[in-house]
Amino acid sequence: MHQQKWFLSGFQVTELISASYLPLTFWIFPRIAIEQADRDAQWSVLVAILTSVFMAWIHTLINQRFPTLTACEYTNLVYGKWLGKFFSFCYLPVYLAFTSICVYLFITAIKPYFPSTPRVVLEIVIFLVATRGAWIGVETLGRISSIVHPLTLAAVTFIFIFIMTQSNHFWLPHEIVSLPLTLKGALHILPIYLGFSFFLLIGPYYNHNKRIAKWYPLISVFISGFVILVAFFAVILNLGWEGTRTLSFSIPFVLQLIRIQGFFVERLGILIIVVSTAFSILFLAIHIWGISSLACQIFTNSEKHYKYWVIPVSASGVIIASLIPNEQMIFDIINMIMVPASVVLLLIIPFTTLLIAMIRRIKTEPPPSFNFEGDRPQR
Amino acid sequence: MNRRWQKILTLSFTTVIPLFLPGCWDYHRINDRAQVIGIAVDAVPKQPQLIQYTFQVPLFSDPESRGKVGGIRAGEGGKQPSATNASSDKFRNFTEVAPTLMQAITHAQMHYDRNFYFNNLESVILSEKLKTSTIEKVLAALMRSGNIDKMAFVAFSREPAKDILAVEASSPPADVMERTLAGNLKQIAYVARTRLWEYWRDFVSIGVDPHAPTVKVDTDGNLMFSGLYAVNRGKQSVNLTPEETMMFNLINNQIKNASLWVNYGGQPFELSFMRGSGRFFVTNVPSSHPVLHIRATVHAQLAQDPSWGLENVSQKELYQDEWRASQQMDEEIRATIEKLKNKDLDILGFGQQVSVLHPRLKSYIEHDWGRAYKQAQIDVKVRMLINYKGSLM
Repeated sequence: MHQQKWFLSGFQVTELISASYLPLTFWIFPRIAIEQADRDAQWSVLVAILTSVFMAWIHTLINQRFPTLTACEYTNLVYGKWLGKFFSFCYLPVYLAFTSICVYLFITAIKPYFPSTPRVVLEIVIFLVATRGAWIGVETLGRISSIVHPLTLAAVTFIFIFIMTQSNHFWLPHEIVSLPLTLKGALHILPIYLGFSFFLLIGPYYNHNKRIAKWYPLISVFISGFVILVAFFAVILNLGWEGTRTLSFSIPFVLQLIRIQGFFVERLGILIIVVSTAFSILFLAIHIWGISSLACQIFTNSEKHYKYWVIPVSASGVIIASLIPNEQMIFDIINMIMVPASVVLLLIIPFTTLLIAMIRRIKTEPPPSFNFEGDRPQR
Repeated sequence: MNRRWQKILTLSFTTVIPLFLPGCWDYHRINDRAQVIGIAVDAVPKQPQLIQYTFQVPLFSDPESRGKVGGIRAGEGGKQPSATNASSDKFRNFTEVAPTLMQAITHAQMHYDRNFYFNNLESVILSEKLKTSTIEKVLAALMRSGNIDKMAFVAFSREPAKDILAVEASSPPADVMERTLAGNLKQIAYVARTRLWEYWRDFVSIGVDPHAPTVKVDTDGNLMFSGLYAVNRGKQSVNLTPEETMMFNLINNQIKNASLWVNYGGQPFELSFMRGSGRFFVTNVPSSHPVLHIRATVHAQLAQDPSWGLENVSQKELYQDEWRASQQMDEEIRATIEKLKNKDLDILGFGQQVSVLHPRLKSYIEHDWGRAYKQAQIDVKVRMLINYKGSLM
């Protein structure tokens, strides 16, 4: 059981959660939606967002039930030591592959700007900086998230709304053609929320006594849902349905269609580049910390020495990212592995865990609320 | 680890990191690059598997040393340029015949000592003689490459596209085309503007046919952009005149500060500073006789009244002028759509709108729309609002 000397603030928790998912399929999800659901793509995006609200609610209930425990500790409590460790272990390979794929996709998106730089160099540089972030720990990551994520969010929202308004026609389907196709599309979009499990690791690091505490993940998925919808409509309204289906990376493509010139780029252009890179590295650092912390808990029953795992995890990430031969393999991995994995890790395991905990009435008490102003860390 | 060592390690880490910064890998001197600003694509007679590509590179240096590197004209390697490669003080063109774009670039690179760089591509000129399958192949190649600017403008030429890029002007022809079509001009009406990605999008979409403006060399030897050219997969093609293109632009909300000579029903008058907004929709689908509805609202100023400014125009006369102008535009829009219908070219995207708004009808649009579109009825309503400031300023 954790006896925290400091807590992350509510804002930091919300931003930390928000920075922990989206990059896996954000660059390609409009194409995935259209490939799987055809003209019902917009409904499948909407269903995926609604599913994310359900997912966030389950995760919140788990964290509220075990406010002083992290993922591995409460699964041990609910399922017993070995079964609990097995369920926790299930997350490790998927999340290792997930982080490597995210880095690969991010590099694919920025590669046109660095055509001569070898991919492996970009991978090593990104992992090096992220390793440093993971090494410092979750409190610092929380503080960085509270700066980087709002800036990224503002820039992304502004850019996609701007692109959306450039469209000549605002035609969108008025009816659902096929419910099975809609659900199939939603299922294939779900990996965009892979990474959300990180929230289960930070239970002990924030104050559960505040009434708003249960809303942090929900606020996060509402915001991300808005961004996903805006990005989807920006792509569909500009590129059309068949155009989006043809392009592998539809989001980077529409980003090329804007030429922001003059004052905005002269003054803020470099800031946008810095912020978007910072976001990707922050995302990676969060997951390196998460995987290291989980691995440490599984193998040593404590997360105290998570730093020993940071470098092996990062090195594995670089190796996996280097082994990926091309984008098509990633699309296949997402389709065949990440889709079922996201259903299992984001919905089935958390839901089953919560259900069993409720049936068996397993619960831990929240720590006493600190008697200081706000949620500032106690020094 | 004591604090001193921690500081040394941190400092070493931050010093080593910049050595791997990716930007350094991609550093290229601007003088080492040949910025390709225009591509012209022509058919090769009797060899359908080959395509003729012409690449235009601007020359930036001063007239004295223009194009010279170390006393030798850049790209010539001490030899005269080949007969097929046009050049001037402002640009150089490289023409290559190859089965694919990448092959053509590789061949062209043999003639020039700088790397071809396509990120600043401004214009793509396609010959009207190109087959649809060739256009598809060229578009796919242009779109597939991540380093080609998709915001370049597309135009069609009845003359060989290569000749368009060889015209002597104040700046390279590809640059002239970009500046003409980019929307910097005050009056916009007689030419349809299409960017590369828009042309490709319409090419791959169902229920809409792609279109692009036409370019030719006028009698004074200047480049002239007007009207539009459209071709579909059924190999039907059409050229719209500037006046017809104006009606197309009106429906597409692409008119700004245009002027119109109204000659409907007697005394002629002129409208200026015209701007309009339009929309369209289709009813009676699915059927073999759909109805194409077009609604347009036009705001304009009365520039020249029938009395040539000698008498004030009353409000009643203004209403009559509005009615006459709207009737004229109604007829012109109807004639334009009829022309497109007869050629089975749906460049406005009536079919696309149906397939998106009513996704259940997607199959009908894919398979039966061509026939239904030809037999469609047209319903046009134009609302004209004329502003009048008095006969004299």
